[in-house]
Amino acid sequence: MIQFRNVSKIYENGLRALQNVNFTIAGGEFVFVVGASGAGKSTVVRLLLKETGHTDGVIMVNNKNLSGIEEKNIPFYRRQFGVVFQDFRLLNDRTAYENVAFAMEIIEASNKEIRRKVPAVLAMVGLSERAHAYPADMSGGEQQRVALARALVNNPTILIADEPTGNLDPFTSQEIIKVMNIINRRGTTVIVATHDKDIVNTMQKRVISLNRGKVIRDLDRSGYINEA
Amino acid sequence: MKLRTIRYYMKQGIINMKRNISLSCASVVSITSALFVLGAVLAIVFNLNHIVRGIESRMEVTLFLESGTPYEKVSSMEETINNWHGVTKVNFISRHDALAAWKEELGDQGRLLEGYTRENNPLPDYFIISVDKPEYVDAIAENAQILESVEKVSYSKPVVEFLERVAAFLRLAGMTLVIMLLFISTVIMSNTIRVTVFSRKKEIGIMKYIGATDWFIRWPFIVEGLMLGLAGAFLSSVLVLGIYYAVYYYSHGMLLSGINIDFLNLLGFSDVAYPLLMVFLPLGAGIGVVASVLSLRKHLRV
Repeated sequence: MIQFRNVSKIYENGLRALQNVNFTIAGGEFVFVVGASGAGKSTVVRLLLKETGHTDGVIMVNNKNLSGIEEKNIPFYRRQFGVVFQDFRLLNDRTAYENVAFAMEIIEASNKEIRRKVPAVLAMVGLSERAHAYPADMSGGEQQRVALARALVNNPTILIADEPTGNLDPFTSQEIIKVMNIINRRGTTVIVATHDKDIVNTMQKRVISLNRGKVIRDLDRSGYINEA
Repeated sequence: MKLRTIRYYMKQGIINMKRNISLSCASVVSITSALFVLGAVLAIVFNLNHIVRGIESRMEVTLFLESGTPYEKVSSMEETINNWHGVTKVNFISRHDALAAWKEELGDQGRLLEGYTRENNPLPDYFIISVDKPEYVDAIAENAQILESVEKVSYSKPVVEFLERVAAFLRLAGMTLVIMLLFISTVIMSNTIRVTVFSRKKEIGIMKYIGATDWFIRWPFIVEGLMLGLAGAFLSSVLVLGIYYAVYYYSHGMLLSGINIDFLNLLGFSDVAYPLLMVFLPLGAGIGVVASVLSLRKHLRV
């Protein structure tokens, strides 16, 4: 489903973010991409979302070579992903419900569909009761659940989370990861970039470790292994 | 495009406008003032053209004779003129007829001319030559100039040329000013929209991650520009046409009531209003769209 072949990324300022990165993620997998800050986790996410282009190598997503995607088709390419960020990125002037509905409005879904799907996905992340609360009145965990609901409402095949627990306490972090696990069991591929040892250790999933832009380990059913 | 999507664009456009209301007002005022100057220039130029057309359509050459030109001479002149190419009619008006006609025209105020009699009539004898087509007027006027006993030839061309020069100057000066003002309005407006783009940067970022197309993101800002532009067009139309309406009726009531010369009257209100609206609305809307596209091109990168 996702393939990185000898991928390198050098930013315009000369920073070598990734060097010869190779990995393959099959459909339905749950993968952690771990490493200290600056290891290249976020670059992997940015390349997958085609926020920036890679310098060398080949990236394939669902049998599509990312280099071949035209600028104007990037929005449509992105619609196969659900994305969650450390800082939630919710619209503060909209309720939980409206934030989720917004994702559907953008892809011009019908009103009927919006009314059907938004409550369902809010229920899935356990937020039915809070549908009409504004982000300012919600806890961090609740906000991240809204972000998750928003990421999922358009049925993405891949869920990408960039440090999803970075702003959450350990207990809430576990809750969020559990929700992601449920989503994964329903068939969505989940990729979590994180340096949160606890969640990696409890989940015991595949872990791709990056260090200074290189893959140094790629282990199944692993925990977080500290660099020596 | 779905109806709901269009409603979304409109709503967001209005929200954008309200978010920085003072800048929105500044853009509207600047467009209004630019279009106001444009409107004033156009109204004047339209009227000058109208006068020029009116004068040109009166295809006449008037020949004033030296005083004391004998009548035998007059009839031989009349014969000569009649043979010129393009002349349809030659009318001789004697100074006495002219004085009588003038007295009659003044009516009650004819007393002003009471002191003038056949003996001390200050008016000259003259011919009015009616011409077939405007292009013959020049040649006929030139021929007339070299006739013996002719004091002065009066025809439309010099007046027309003068009015055309005035119109050309107004067009040039006015248009230069208008282009400058329009440029300034575009800059102000594009800055206004830039500020809204910045204030919605986070939202735009989120939209991009979710997979919104660039056009989906752009439309609300274009709607914002469009509405600001149309608001400017509307206000300037109201101003220019309001003033024109007042001037038109004032001038009809007071200034030219006694003189019944059609082409010296101002163009009718609707003759000015329609062309102005045809210019203002697309121009206002166009500036709005251009300004928003300009500010979006640079600032839509996420």
